[in-house]
Amino acid sequence: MAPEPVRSTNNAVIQRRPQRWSEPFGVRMTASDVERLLAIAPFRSMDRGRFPKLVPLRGLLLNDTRVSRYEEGEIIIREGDYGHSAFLILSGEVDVSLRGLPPRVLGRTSGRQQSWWDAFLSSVGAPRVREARDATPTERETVTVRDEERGARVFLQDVPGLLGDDGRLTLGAGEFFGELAALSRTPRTATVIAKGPCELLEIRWQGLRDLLRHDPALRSHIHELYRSNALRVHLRETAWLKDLSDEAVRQIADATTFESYGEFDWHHDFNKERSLDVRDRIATEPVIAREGDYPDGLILIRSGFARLSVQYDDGHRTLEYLGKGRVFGLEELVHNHRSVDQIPWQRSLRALGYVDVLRVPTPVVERWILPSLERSTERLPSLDQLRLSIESRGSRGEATVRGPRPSPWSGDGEGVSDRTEFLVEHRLLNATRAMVIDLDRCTRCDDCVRACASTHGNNPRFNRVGPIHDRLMFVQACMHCQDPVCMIGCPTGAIGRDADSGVITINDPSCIGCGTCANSCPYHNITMVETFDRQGRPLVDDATSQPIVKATKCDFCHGRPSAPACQNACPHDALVRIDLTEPTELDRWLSKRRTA
Amino acid sequence: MTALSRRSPGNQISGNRIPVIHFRTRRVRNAVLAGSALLLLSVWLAYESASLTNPAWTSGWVLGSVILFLTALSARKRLACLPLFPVSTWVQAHIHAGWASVVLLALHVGWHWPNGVFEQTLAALFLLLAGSGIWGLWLTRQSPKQLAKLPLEVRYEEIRDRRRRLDEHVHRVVLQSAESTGVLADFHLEVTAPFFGRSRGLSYWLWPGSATRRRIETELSLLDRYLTDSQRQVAKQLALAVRERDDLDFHQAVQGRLKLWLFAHIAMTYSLWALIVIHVILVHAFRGA
Repeated sequence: MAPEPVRSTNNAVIQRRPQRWSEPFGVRMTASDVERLLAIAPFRSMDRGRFPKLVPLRGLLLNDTRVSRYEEGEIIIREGDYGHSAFLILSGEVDVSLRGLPPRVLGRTSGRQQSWWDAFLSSVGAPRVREARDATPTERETVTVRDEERGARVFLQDVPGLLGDDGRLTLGAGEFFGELAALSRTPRTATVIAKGPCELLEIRWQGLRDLLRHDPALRSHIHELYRSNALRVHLRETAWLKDLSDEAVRQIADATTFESYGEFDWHHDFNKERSLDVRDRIATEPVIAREGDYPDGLILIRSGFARLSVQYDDGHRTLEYLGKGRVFGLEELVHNHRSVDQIPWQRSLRALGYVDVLRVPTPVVERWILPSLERSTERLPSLDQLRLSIESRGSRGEATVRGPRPSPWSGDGEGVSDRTEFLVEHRLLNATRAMVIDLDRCTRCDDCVRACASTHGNNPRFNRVGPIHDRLMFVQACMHCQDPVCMIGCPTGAIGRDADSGVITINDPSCIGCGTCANSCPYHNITMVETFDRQGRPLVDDATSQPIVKATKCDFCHGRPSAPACQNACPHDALVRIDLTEPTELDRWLSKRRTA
Repeated sequence: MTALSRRSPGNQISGNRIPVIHFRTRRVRNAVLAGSALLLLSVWLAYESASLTNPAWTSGWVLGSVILFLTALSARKRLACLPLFPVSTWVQAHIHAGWASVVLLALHVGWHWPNGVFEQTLAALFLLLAGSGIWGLWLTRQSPKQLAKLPLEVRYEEIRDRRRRLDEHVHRVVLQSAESTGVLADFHLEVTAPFFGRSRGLSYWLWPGSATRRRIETELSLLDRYLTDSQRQVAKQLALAVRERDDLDFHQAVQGRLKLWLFAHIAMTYSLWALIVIHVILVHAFRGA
């Protein structure tokens, strides 16, 4: 809903600033729908006094939820998709698929693949006009399984035959699903299909977050759901716990606590915090485990990133960053289990942005996990190894700095000498496909930029600029983040992650040019561009006479025969698209070139 | 962290894992391949010679094919999105095929300098092109290291604009200080204004260095005893501007030198092709003779 003009002058239209609920989730939600919801569980038992005046329960239900009806066999959520909402079953039943289904069955078509001939033509015959679009918009691509506007739906035929009795789990009225992906910005882990006609309440993540924050009963209910559904799967999927018995997994799951640290909307304050001194910045990071404290449990990172650091005189030195699936504290727990000489945490773990962790209490680890690990062929880590690792990482920071090149970018001056420290400070650890240029080999020929332009309608999706550390430039191009905060708040779902490749793409016809993604990207890697027709005439909105703008960014040459063009075009092996979520990947790339 | 904790459960967003070949390994492998190909060709040419067949035909056509392959690099660069191996692989092949082509030329002319004027011109241009390639290889390996040492990273297209803005900044700073000190104003008129106003000479473009900057910095430091604290701040700003201008000039010279080299290398390539076509026509026209 566009903000209503209050008054206008000759030069400007004065409007009320848009508020959180200016764009309600469900445009058809009415007060009577809300009354109906307030009469059923779990909303019936919620204490409305716990909700702040600005975010009342009634307002949450009216603006952050919508009621949808589904027919038998209709796909509600699809494995691998990114969802930003959770579902509560109001009536009817749904089937949760316990096994993966082929993409074709799920109505997922792999995006249009550009042919060699088209790629050749686009390379040799770059259009004269940049950012040219057809004046008549093309048909939108289906980005979700259900398009409310067009009524497009995807159905599965013969669900019982497809899944079998043991391949599905039936959920009924009053049960939640989809909450995990909505809250942690992770892909849907299962496909959910309507078993018959059913009515669902869809809650967008902003509303779900507030409901959990202000209603402890719902919070513990959601945690319990996670414990009973996803946690055991998570533990089973953890490679080094694969040998545990079912009983052990059950015991561990029952004792595990869920903890969240940091702000879910961390990207809003990221650039503000970057201007702080490194020491102050670390001090603002929520502590998950503090060096010197008693090791009260094994910590598993469920989503997000955490900084691993040790006290170094009056400050903290970053050793490493831990992402999803990594574990903290095993060394200390193993030592304490084997020795009477008990030690505290040897390092600190701090949340970078928003982190979800699982904490398995020490007695449970000692009772169920350590005996199993001791029996396995894997050698358990020792305290000596840990101390050696801390010392070597400390000195590695000095060793890898090769030259006295101060960075022109603010925030990485004195005191930030190590590459790991740099990656953490700039949150580059979020990148699954960062563009890194080795300035020791880059001749500044800009062939990468030209190649990008030739594959993207004569307008490159990046400029060869970015923060520099240790003669490596981390170019300002979309990094296809593990935690893609740019996707939050896109009103049309135009920006999304490709389920097959993991690449974040923008569906151009769906983009309304609101700029939400560009504002959300903490790395400023999304650009809003004005569009033109093939003759070079600007496209203008007929209602506002304002230019039609679109969000553009690196799409990793998605759908093109050879990707990415930038990396392929570099004549001197100076440019690489690399996964920085795993700290060793960049080390591996550098170690094989810099000794040459 | 330990090996245990490195393992992560499924459902991980897959990043871009790239195969890495050690540069030294690649260099050795390519050199062995090129050397082996040359050896095989030499044996074949020796066989042809022993069979009373003129080996110049085979070596000529092989050499022509290699030059065609060397020229194809620029076409490959334009077709970045086609899966025809990365351009860096082509460059490696270009380098090794380039070395091999010099030996091929020697085999083709029978290790003697050709005697006809046209053939001499053709051979000279070929060697000039090969020399340019070697110089270019050195440039592309050394220039990035030289540029990476600077505290400033700038794109070639931006240099002119940044230099203009820097000139304006210096002018403004000196004008403001002129009311309180004539020393800096005089110094600016005599030393820094010409430095900022003039382009560097040809010698700087060929061998860019920091001698001029160091001289100006030394002269500026000698003025220190005549200046008050606030004037010293202005002098400091001036010194910083001199350093930035020097860095911009260095970038322009080094990046420009690379661009100029590439232009010359490509121009020579097409000139060589013109001569090669004439050479082939002549050879076939006078085949009987």
